[in-house]
Amino acid sequence: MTAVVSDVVAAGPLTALWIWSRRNKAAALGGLLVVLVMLSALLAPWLAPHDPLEQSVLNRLDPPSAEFLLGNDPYGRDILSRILWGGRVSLFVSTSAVLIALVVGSAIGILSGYVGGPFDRVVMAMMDVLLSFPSLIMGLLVVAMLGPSVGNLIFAIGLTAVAPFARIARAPTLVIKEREFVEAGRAMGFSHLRIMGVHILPNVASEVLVMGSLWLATAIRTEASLSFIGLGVRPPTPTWGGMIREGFENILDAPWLAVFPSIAILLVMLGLNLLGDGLRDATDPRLRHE
Amino acid sequence: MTAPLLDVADLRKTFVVRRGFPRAETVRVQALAGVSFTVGEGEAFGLVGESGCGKSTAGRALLRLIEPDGGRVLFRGEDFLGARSRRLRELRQKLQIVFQDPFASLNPRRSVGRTLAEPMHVHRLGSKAEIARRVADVLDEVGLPRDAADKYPHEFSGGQRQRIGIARALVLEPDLIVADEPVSALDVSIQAQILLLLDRLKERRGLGFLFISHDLGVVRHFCRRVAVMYLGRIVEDGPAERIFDAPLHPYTRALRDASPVPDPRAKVTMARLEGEVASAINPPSGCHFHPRCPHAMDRCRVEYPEVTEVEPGRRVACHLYPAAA
Repeated sequence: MTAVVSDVVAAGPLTALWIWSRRNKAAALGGLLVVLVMLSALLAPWLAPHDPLEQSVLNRLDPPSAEFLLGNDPYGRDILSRILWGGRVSLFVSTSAVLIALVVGSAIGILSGYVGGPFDRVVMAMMDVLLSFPSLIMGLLVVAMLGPSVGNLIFAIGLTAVAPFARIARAPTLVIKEREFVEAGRAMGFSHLRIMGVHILPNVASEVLVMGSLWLATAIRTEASLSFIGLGVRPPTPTWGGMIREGFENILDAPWLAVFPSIAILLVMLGLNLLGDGLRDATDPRLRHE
Repeated sequence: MTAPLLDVADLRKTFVVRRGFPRAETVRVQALAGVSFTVGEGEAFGLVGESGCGKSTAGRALLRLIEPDGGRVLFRGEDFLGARSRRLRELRQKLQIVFQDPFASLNPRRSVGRTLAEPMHVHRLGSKAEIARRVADVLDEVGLPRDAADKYPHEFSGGQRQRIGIARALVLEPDLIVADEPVSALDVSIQAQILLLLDRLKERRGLGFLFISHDLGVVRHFCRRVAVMYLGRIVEDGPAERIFDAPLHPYTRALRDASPVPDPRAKVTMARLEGEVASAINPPSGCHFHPRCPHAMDRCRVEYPEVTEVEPGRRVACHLYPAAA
């Protein structure tokens, strides 16, 4: 089996990716979806056919047409352009939140698992308290206290995701710290920081990254939910959740207002979940040697 | 008289475990109940016993991989247990360990070259080029090809991994290696190769070894002196040939009779050892061995025998050998 893998690696990363995709079709599809959505958000300034903030009384609540592919909202703004621009905000907020949670959570988890004893118990009890809040309630609390802004939104969503990352990083740390290569490191006089950062972290990384892709989906949903109840980024800046709420008021007359941003959220969440499941299967050693 | 390479005296370690539900009980396991021995410069000293007797704990406790509860460890006369951060790091270079399981002892995500270079980087032993040269040298020394440095542990067999583990122990130029069952996980044919390698290192580098094993044949081949452990105590120690040819303690005798001899004509002796190893949680009163001992006397049930020097350099803890009055 190792021979096969090294042949693939020798053939170049693109070929390896191709072969991996053939074996994991669902994950590859998920990855493709995520890349497409990310690209469309990144390239919004060039892709968007109209200014997302430009109002036009003449076009208010128009259904999809040749000029405005996905129709117009109550102010006559172009929905397609707003979805593309809104994706920038939604993805920026959720990605930053998950990245922060990933870094902070993994650090807490590795430290807690490595130190062990009463310290571990106290830290994990704190994480359990964090976990016991539903993420939406937690986000609501934080944003209500600090006020809605992009920074606070990132902080609120990040806070809800720290505990799961701490848990997911701690579990393998408990196993790995008993492995003999960690003992060997101590016998050779390595510092605890080096052992945690250089020897434990890379062995925990795959679990954490899989978790990251799954939590990114959750974070996008949380961001959309907060925007939906009006605690997200302030209008007129477009966000997917905000657009759904605005569309909700006209759901019977002009369903495209809410449906299209919902589809955008659906696609990216579907993509992230497929990708995350595929990555989990790919990194699970029990499934690797089939 | 100069100080020996390693002088371990009265090393103690008790593990405290809380177990049971709903009412947890605190259980004390006395893994080391005062273990003492010395290892001379360039000497191979063997520590043998059944599994669970505390021999691995002794190796780890003297290296402070597990902090011992009490006792004294002197390395060339210098207190190792009391050493503080900087000095401890310096001393650690001189005391290295080789593990039993060659699969768990290497970080799967690091190439062999990085694994071998890392300790030298950490201790700032030379420039990048010097370290790369040292890695190549040490790979030669343990009999691995030089291109092994670019590979990962999973690309090697068990025996080769054990060579990598030995190479890692060597890069810091230690004076003593604690070898914890270094060949027990390997096939017999591979065992011989690794033992030959250790032999060569002992001769060429003048390395001292604390060789921990349950395999009497291996210990007899490799070690000059041996100590036999039972339930956290040394029951007998002395020169390897004397211990195995004329064991004094009933436990040593049973252990020797129970170990297979690779000679088809040898008479098969039935293991005389009956019963399980007594529990270290609740050690038997008196001499810990008395429930399994064919020579147990009343005295054995109440009083732990003192360690007695029966011949020069040969000590035993058993009531059958009373101290010379």
